[in-house]
Amino acid sequence: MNKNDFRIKEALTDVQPEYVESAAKAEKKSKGYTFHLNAWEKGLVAACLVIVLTVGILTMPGVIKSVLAGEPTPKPIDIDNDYAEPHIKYYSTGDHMVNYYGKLGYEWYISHEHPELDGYPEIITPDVFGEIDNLRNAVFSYNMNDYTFVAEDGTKYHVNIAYHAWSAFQLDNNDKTIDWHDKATDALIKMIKDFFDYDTKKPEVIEYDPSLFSEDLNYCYKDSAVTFVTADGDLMYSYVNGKLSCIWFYACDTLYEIYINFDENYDATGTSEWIQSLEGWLSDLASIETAPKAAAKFRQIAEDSWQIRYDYIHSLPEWEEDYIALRKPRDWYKKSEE
Amino acid sequence: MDDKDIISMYFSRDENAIAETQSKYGAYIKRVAFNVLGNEEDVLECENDTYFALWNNIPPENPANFGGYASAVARNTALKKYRDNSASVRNGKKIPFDEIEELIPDEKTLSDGLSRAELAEIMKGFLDTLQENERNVFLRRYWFCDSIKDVAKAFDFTEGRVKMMLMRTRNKLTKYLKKDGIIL
Repeated sequence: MNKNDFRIKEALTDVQPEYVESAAKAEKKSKGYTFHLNAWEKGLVAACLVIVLTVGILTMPGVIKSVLAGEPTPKPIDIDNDYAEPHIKYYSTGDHMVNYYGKLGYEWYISHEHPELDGYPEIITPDVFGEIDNLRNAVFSYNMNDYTFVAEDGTKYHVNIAYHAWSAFQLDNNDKTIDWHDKATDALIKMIKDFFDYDTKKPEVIEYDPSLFSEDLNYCYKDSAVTFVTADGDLMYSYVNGKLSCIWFYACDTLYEIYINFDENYDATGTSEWIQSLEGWLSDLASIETAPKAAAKFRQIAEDSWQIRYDYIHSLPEWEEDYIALRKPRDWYKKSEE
Repeated sequence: MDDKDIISMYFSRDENAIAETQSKYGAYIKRVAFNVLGNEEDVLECENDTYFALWNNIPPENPANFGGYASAVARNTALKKYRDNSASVRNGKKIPFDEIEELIPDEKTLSDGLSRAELAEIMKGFLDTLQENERNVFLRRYWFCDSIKDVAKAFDFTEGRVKMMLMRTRNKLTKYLKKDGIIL
């Protein structure tokens, strides 16, 4: 780099902070295309509309059925428009909030407010969560219990499930808290237990080998003390600061990840038992099931975790008046399969 | 925690201010540092130096925009480290900042008499002339040192479009600097 160029780039550091902030937050705001269609293109669009309408009519009975059964029907989401900005919903109780972040990969983030802290929602901005690498760091910072998973097309998805909500709800309503926590914990344990076949030999313990991971994973997990790999190299899991934090495994040549984050200072009843049992199971773990079956089970994990939150959110009294659109993970897979 | 509360903690010399800063902006600071330096050890060092600098600077500084201020401190710290590294390119590590295309062509001569503060004022003036979209893409590339691919992804543009936008903005910058006699 020439010296003059460096001087300009260096001076750029001191420009208007509001511009810098705005650039950091600017995500996908700017999608604006103008279409100029000629006659045959218009005809093509019209034909597509007819097909879409036909398909819509054909699939309508399923929708009607779910409405008649009294099931809330998630409203359709226009990913590009509805999710271009963070969606923040405040419940009338004011004690928690649910927010969703735009675009696949960032949504499904659910955060609950701690009113006793400063009376202001903890808004995690897209520039913190907006990149998957930073998201990993942010997940650690916020001590949540999260999943990040990757679809066949490489799209990464992120699901937050329990602890943040747990700690928030404990303050408001102990009964509700315990219900929620137990449900989430039991479900997660079941998911993990069901997922793995832990009848065979113990995993081989190896030294941390950066070559096993992509650069960004190494960056995020440089503090990992030990990584375990099954004898056939299919499964890895890692300890951060002595706590099991995540599981990585390969299936169908795709890197899947489950994150299980623990707060080191977290001392809630039940948590340590959960960690112990989880670690116990994993220490007995040896091999992974065949890849296609593993992938199918992994989808089930995603769907189960969705169902828990779906049921929970629908149980909130504010549900009717403050509608929150939810989609099942399988819709994401459908999208990626298409 | 609200930025104002974090700043109050700095003012009352409460060391928890650093933990709160890390909790809220740690990932952000790392990202800025990583994009400039591109290696983990330096990023960690840079992050710590950034907290140290914030601790020393506030007070007397009382930034209105703490997030922007913290990231600017991180960028300064990273650039300083970058300079140190460049002086003795260590272990053959690639230096991402070097990979970013030049803002002004090599053959142009920038007036030696200009201080960094003066150059910064000039760049502020230039940014004011840009449209929001242009400015955001420009800053993502040259301030945050994001890759073309990342910028394209962030804005939902094609990489070609981002490259084109950047080229046009660089040309505008060259004209802007020429017009004011900053470059010859």
